[in-house]
Amino acid sequence: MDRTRPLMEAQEGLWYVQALDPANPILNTGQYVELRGPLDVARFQAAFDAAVAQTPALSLRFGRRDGRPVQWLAAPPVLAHADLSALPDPAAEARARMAADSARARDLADDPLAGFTLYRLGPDHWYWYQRIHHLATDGYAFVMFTNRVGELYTAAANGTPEPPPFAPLEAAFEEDAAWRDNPKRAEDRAFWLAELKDLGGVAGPGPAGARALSGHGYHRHRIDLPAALMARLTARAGAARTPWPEVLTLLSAAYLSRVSGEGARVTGLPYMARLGTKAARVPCMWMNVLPFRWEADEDMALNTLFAEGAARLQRLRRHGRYRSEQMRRDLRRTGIDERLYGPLVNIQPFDVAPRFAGMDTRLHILSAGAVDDLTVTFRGDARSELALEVDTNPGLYTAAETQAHAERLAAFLEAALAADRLADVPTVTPAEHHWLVEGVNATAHPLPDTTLDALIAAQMRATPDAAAVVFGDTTLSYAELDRRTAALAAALRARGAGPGRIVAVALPRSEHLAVALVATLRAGAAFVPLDPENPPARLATLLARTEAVVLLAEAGLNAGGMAPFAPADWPVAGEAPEPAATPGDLAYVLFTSGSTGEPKGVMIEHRAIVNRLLWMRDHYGFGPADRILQKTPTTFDVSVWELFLPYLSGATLVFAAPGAHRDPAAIARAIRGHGITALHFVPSMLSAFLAAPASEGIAVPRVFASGEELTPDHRRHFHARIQGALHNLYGPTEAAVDVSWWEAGVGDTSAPLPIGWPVWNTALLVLDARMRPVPPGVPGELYLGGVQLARGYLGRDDLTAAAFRPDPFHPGARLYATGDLALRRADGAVVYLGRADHQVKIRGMRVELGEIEAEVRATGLVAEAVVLARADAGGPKRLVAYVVPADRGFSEPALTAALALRLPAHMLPAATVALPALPVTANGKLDRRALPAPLLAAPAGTPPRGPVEERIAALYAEVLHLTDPPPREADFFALGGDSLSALTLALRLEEVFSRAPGLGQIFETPGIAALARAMEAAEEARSGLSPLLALRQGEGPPLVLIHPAGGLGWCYRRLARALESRPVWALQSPLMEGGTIPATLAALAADYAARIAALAPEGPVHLAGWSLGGILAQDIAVELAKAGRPAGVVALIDAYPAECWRAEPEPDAAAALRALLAIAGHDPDAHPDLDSRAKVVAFLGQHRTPLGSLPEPVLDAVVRLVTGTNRMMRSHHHRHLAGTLFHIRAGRDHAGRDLTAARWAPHADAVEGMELPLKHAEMLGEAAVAAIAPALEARMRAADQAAASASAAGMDAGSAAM
Amino acid sequence: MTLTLDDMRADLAAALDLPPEAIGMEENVYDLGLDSMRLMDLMLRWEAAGVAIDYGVLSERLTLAAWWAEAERLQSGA
Repeated sequence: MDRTRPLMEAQEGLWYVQALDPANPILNTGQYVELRGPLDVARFQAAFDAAVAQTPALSLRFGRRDGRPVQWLAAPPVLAHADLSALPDPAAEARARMAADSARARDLADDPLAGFTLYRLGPDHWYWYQRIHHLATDGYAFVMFTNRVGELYTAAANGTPEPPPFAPLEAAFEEDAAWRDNPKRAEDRAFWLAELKDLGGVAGPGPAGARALSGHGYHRHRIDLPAALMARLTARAGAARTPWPEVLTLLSAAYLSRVSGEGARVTGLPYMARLGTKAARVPCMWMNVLPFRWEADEDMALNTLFAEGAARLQRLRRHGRYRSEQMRRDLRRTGIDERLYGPLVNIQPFDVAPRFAGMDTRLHILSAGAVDDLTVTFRGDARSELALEVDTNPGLYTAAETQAHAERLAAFLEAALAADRLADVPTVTPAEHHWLVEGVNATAHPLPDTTLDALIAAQMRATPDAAAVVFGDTTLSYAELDRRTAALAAALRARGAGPGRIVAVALPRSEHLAVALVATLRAGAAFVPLDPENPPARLATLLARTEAVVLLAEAGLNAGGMAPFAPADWPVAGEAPEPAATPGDLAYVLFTSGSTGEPKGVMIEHRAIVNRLLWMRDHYGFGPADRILQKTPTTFDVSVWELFLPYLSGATLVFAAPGAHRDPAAIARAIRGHGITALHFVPSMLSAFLAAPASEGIAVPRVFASGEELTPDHRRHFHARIQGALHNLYGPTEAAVDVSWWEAGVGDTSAPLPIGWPVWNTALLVLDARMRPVPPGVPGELYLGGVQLARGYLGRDDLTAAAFRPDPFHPGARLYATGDLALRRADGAVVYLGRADHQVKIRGMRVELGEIEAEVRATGLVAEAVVLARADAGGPKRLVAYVVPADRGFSEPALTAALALRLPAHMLPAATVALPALPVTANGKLDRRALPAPLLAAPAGTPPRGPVEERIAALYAEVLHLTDPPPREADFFALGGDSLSALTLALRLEEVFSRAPGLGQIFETPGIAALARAMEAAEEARSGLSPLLALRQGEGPPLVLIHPAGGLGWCYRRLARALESRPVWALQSPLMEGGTIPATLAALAADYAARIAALAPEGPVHLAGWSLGGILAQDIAVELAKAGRPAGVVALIDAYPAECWRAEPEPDAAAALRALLAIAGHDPDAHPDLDSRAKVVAFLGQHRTPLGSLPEPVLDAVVRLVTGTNRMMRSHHHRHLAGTLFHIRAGRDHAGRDLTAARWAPHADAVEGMELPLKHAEMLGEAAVAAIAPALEARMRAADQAAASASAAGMDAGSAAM
Repeated sequence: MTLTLDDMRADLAAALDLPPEAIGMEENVYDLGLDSMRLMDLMLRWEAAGVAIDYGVLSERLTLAAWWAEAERLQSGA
């Protein structure tokens, strides 16, 4: 193959992965074979050479021709030899070298893509290292090649015949070409289209919404499975008449399904796809990944499941040549968020160490290619060995999670191979089970066997004179509360109140409410709070359902029949009845509006609420000094702690004025006026409070939030404004107000913000649909257990039985199913994920509304945001954002534009509705039903705006063969774009705009407007006027190029590009960004030296500068040497010391402007006509230099600099540099002036000169760079080495001294 | 030890869970459901029977006829 060839189908996808991120080394697949024994090195070399000769794929290189990827053959790889046996730890050194080699991305066109080294570690100990780019070979080919070396070595050693050589690479090309026209291909396509019909978003075990795109590395955890497990596997597989690799595939898929979030279960199965093709014996890249869409029927007999699953797998393989990349194109799922499969399961039964005659060998896999999500690999024959490896994308998983998956999967296999059906197999390991059920719920705490009224009575006796209740101007002492509640309790008892009976309380906030509730409890009855604002019919219904014996309400209340017992009629004196309630009697009944049908009356017993209140008192240290604000409506269970905690702490209950709970100013007044020490907010009300001017400067020791999700935004705003602690509480009415707590302190950075840890005597469990514990990180339903659970629903045993279920882990106990989705973090804290029934899908993709809300808020354009998925007027479901605009900056287009940069297209709201405030219910929760339908019609596209958008739209149309330019909202992938057309687009953008947005940018912002903004933003950053402009990325000591007189460093781009890979920076004048500069050149140099030292805190720094930049470079070098920095190269490009210029006339403004021409790469002498700013700027604009578009203030700065720095330079006196200057002279200039390298001699130890036959203005041009770059490079490399050995010598000296 | 065509057919049929008569000489063995693991098992079985057919050769060829040709060649040469 002496000419270029197009890529084979199997290579295209990988080529694209590498093109997306050329610096990513992840496609360097690598391994090493450990050899022990008397290796015959010459024989090994011969076997290697012969195997390489049979494997031309190792010599492949790749590039682009006419925008399409191509490949060709270059020189074959050679075997390197390294003898490390003299080192103290040769194996560690070899591994370090291999790791370093594998971690370096190769240039597909210029670098050899395969590398091999034979490390000698000792007399009979060797590592044979192999690295091959995945584009050249797949895993099977890698094994073929490795084994072939062993076979050839062995054949030579034993004198036996060599195996038949591999088939030529040409055979694979023929097969690939033939396949493209094969009728079987159409059949396979039809098969996969049917197989993947209606496939929605694909799930994975990683965090929801995270992008599965391979990083530069991976985590790995490996477990060598025990012999007993191998034996059980092969026996079980035999019994099921299923090959054991299929059993492993099926069980792994079942495990991955258990630990994955919402979405379709599709496992990717690497498939060699070679059998029966001409490529069977060709070592090359040929493998495919088959999407295995399968969810185990966990109730099916396992052997049947194995047989049926294996039959499915066999069917897929029969169509296994059809590429998965092609399927994605067929299904229009080419966006990054639209993957075809989640985790991979890779079985490598043939991956055993190669055999070398007379040697013991072991195989160590270093890297098997990209890890987009999670890859489960089994290596070995399941007889002598079987290793389980879990590799993960570090962007999605931690190392600890990786290890946990490996250990859990091993335990899952162990249990499943002994089970009759998967339903009986736990997801978690026994150790995890214990931790998840008992460990995190170790909340046992002694609880007094008493009632709420007994605790209140004790406090009333203990502190009779203390203030118990404050309402407006009224204050009740504990003695007064005692007297009035005793009298009313007696009256209630007389009216039939007692244990098991219910008293209805429908009073607004007032001291009467406090008296009514305590009196009810003292009568031994339970209270049921009712909202006096409710319609009479509803009140009547609730009264009837509770069979309330008394209604405590204002006289005028119409409750549909029952007459209120009004405060005016309450007795003020009387003997309290004997306490009658026991801890198991009801304390209160609270109606919750069930999602459907009639309200449910939750029955809470004394024991439950006593636990909750005493926990809160002790946990937060409430005492007599506290003043607790009561502002929550009594129909919301948060009010229960507001109303009773004060009495259990000897504290004071302060009633907010009626209606105050919806008025931030009134709340602020109450806090300030009453010295409130604790209060509660529903998070949406907290936002409103924090946004209100009245809350400025408030200090309150404890703020509790519950009832809705508390977000990191709340936390941040809270601590920015309020002095005090913020606590997140969580709990349903069915478990006595709250069951979990989390301190959202200043230092808390959790996102999302957890609901945290269980309260006393309480268990939080995250379980799957079969009530099995799910592992940390996996969403499940939240179940609650413990003393706080409600008795059930009043009169609805059916609903009670459905929600309160037997605890499978503690016989006799109950669990309450909250219907809330949650997950447990690795540290055990619980995170609330939303309601099980609030899931939204847009275009089949799972959409987290909370995520969109967070992004909307993160724009800073809105103060509050709620996103709903609405299907108004029978139309399709659309995302609507409801926002309360921030003080300034908000407009719908601005918000849309900002979001387009942050969210994938399917998550962008179709409409935005701005509201003055978000509507809330009587309880202060967001009232979703009150949010208006958007007025907007269907989101019709708008035409592209501005030349950039227009040109991008035209390119979309061109690349995607559209008849018209699409609207500016259009998404490249939604229009039918795929990875290859994205590449074409990237190339066309590069041509049209002379700058490359990169493929990655197209994937990030596939919308036309978004892409235009991103390109503009990138250009702004690139054209950056910042003092340090990165011209080139790389490793090693940096080169800093100091700006010439104009202050900009753009002129160094060509030079930077021509240098080898090291960081190259241009140092630009801070004036360009509106900064200031010191008055002397020495001070300026010191300032620059400080910036450079901050950029590169240690090691040598190389400096170079043209013209004035050279003068500065010399002085900066003096400064750096003064700071003790090792010397780097100091290169002066046609620069001469200050004293040469003192006699010259100062340049005028026109001359300064003309300096711009030189900066832009033009020779000013060639354009004598350009003598005004307007002419110069026009000229630069016509010649498409970026300088032509500089904003006016920057042009001004350039002019000022040219004149200003000239003045500074003239008064500068050079200091001596203890080092060498490298001077490059423009030989065709300076006629009649003594401007030579020798002029620098007084200012340095030595000056090395070089001369180019060019003019001053040409010294950064193409010809100059061709000469300067290699000279500079050689000197920098020598200096690097000198610095490295000096530092090593210093270390040795240091250790010797110790 | 020898390997006959009937042996090969019977072994292949057992691996594919099919009756031997269902396997025609010119039938594509991969369309019948053969995979790499089963092929490896067959190769090992025939190797144990004294006829070591290269895995690559087996995997390149589609039919029992082609396999038998290779097995015959090896046995006649031995």
